[in-house]
Amino acid sequence: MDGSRQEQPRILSIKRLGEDTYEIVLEKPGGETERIEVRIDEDGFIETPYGVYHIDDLTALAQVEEEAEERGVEDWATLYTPSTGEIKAKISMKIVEVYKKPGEEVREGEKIILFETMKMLGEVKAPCTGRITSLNVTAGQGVKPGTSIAVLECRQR
Amino acid sequence: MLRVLIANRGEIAVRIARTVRELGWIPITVYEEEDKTSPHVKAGRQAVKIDSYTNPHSIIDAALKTEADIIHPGYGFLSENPSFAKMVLDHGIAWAGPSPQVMALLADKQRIREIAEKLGVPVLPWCSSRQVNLRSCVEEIGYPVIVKAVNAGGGRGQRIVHNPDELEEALEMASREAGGGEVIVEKYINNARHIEVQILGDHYGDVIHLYERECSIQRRRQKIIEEAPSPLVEKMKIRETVTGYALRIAQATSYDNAGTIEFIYDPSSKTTYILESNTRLQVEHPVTELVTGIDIVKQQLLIAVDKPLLIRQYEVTLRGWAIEARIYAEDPLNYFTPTDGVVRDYKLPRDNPWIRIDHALARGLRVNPKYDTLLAKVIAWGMDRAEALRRLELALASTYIAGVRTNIEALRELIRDAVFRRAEYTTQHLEKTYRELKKRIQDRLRTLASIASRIGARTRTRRLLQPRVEAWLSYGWLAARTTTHPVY
Repeated sequence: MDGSRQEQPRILSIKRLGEDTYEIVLEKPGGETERIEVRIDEDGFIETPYGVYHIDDLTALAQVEEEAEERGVEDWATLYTPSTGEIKAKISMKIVEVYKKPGEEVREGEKIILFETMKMLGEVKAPCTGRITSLNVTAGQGVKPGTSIAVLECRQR
Repeated sequence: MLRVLIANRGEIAVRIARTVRELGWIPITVYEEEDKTSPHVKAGRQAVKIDSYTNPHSIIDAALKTEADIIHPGYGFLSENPSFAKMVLDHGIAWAGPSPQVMALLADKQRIREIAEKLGVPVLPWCSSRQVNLRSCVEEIGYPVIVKAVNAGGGRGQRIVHNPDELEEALEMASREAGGGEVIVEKYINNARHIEVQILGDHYGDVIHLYERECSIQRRRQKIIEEAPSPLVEKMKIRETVTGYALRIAQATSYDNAGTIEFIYDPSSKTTYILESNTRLQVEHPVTELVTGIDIVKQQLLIAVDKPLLIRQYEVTLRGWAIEARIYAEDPLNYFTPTDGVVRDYKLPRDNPWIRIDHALARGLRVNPKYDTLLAKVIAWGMDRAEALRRLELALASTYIAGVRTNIEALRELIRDAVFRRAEYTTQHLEKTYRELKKRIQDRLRTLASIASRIGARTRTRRLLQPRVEAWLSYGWLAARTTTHPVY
C-alpha cells in the first residue's frame, strides 16, 4: 500500500457516551481535530459518519495492516517484496508461459511470465533490473494467492 | 397459471420470481449442486437441480420435467445464445427473449453495422480479423484503437492501444484470449460517455423505447453505477436522436421482447455512435423501471406468450431520476479484483419507499468466484438527480456486507465525488482517479481499524454473552444448551 502512515489521523481520545455509543476525537494530518460518534449494535455492526462497517472486518483489517508494514512493488496480480526478492501471486491464476530461466538477467519491466485469470491474460514483469535466482512455477500450473512465483536479485532500483 | 422456469441464479432469479408471482404464475428455479444454498433456490415454488447453468440440455430437461410454459434466461449464461433459444422454442416452450433470428442478427457485428449505416446511424470505424489484416486496418483508422477478443465478452479481453509499439502485444494477447477466434479492432473514443436505450417489441411488429440510461462509471470495462435518464442526454438535448437511432435499428431488425441498444458518445465530435446491442434483460434495468413505472420482466413474460404490447409510446413518460450502484465481492484496494469468502452477516438500509434493493444475500452464503460476484444492487429514486443521489448516498452508507471484501467503500466514495455530482464523468473516470480513490479508502479504513481495535474487545465480550444470557432468562439453562447460535 502506498499511503504513508504519517498522514493518518491520530486518535486523541475515545470516550464511552452510553451503552453502545462512543465519541472519538481525531487529530488530522493538518493538526485540526475532528470529533466523531460511532455506535455498535449487538450484531457487531458499527455505525460511523462514513457509513456502516462490521467490527470484525475492521479489527481483521487492523491486523493485516500491522503485518503489511513492509510493502514492495505491487500490481493487481502480484506483489514484490524487496527484502526477500520474492514475487508472490495476489490472486488465483494459471501459468500460461514462462519466458525466462533461473539465472537469467532481466531489465526492469521485462516480461517474466504470462498468466491467465478470469479468462484474461496478464504478465508478470520484472520489478527491477537484476537476476532471476529462482522460478517456482511451470507452464500449465495453477497458482493460489500467496504462492511464490519467482525470486529476483535486484541490482538497482 | 403458467409455469416459468428461471434459468439463472442470484439476485436476478429472485427478481424474476417476484414478477412471476405477481402475474399469478408459478416460478421454478434451478441450481447447480455447489450453488444449492444460494437464496434464489428458495425464491421459486419448486427448485430443480441441474448439471450446469450453461448446459442447454440440462435446463430443457428441468423445464420438461416441471412442465414449464416459459423459460426466462435472465442475463449472462445462456441468455444471448440463439441456438439455446431455438431449442427452447422447438420443445414448445415460450422464450422470454427475442426470437433466435433476431438474436443471431444483432450478434453479427458486420450485418448490424451495415444495417446501421443504411439507416443513417453512425458507426465507429472497425475491422475484423476474419476479413482483413488488422495491422493495415489500424493504420487506416488511426490511434487510439481498442482490440477485442470477440468471444471473451463482458468487458474481458479488451485492450486500448495508443501507438504501434503496443499494437503487436495487444493483438497477440487478444488472439490467445479468443482461442484462435475472431479479434476485432475498433476506433477508441477518449473521454467517451456510455448511453443505452431500452427497447420493447411484441410479436405483432410493435416496438417502443423506454428512454435511455447512462452507464459511464465503469471498472475493468464493466458498469458499476448507472442512471436514468442520462445527464449527458439531458444536457446535450440528444434524447430524440439516440432514442430515434435505437427505434430505427429495432424496427429494421423486427426486434421482439426486451433489448438494449448501446451507444458511445464522443464529446470531441459530439457524435453518438452505435456500439452494440444486448438481446436480453440487463443488470441495470431497474433504473428504467423506476423512472417509467414499467416492469420490464413482466413485459418480457407477456410478450413471450404472444400478448400484444398494451403500452403506446406516448404513454411512456419519464418521471424523476433513478441511480443504481452495484455491490460486488471485489477488492477496491486491489484494482477491483474479485474476492471470495463467506457472508457472515449483512445490513440493508432502513425501510425507505424510495430505495429498491435487488439482492440474493443470506447469512453464511459462500461467495463463489466461479459465478459473477454481484451481491446486491441498491437503487434510489428521486424527483431530480440531486434527490436520488442523496438517497443513494444514505442507502449505501447504511448498507454493509460483513465477512467478504466488497466494493461498497468505493461506491460510497464515488457517489460523494464532485465530478460525479456534476455528472461530468466519462467511462475513464474511475481509471483516471483510481489512485486517489484507493488512497482515500485506505486512509479511512486505517483510521476506522484503529478505532475498532481500541473499542473492539469490550463489545466482542458483550456480543458473545448477550444471546446466551437472554436464552437463559427466557428458556432456562437446559433449553439454552440446545439453542444454536451462529458459529462464525
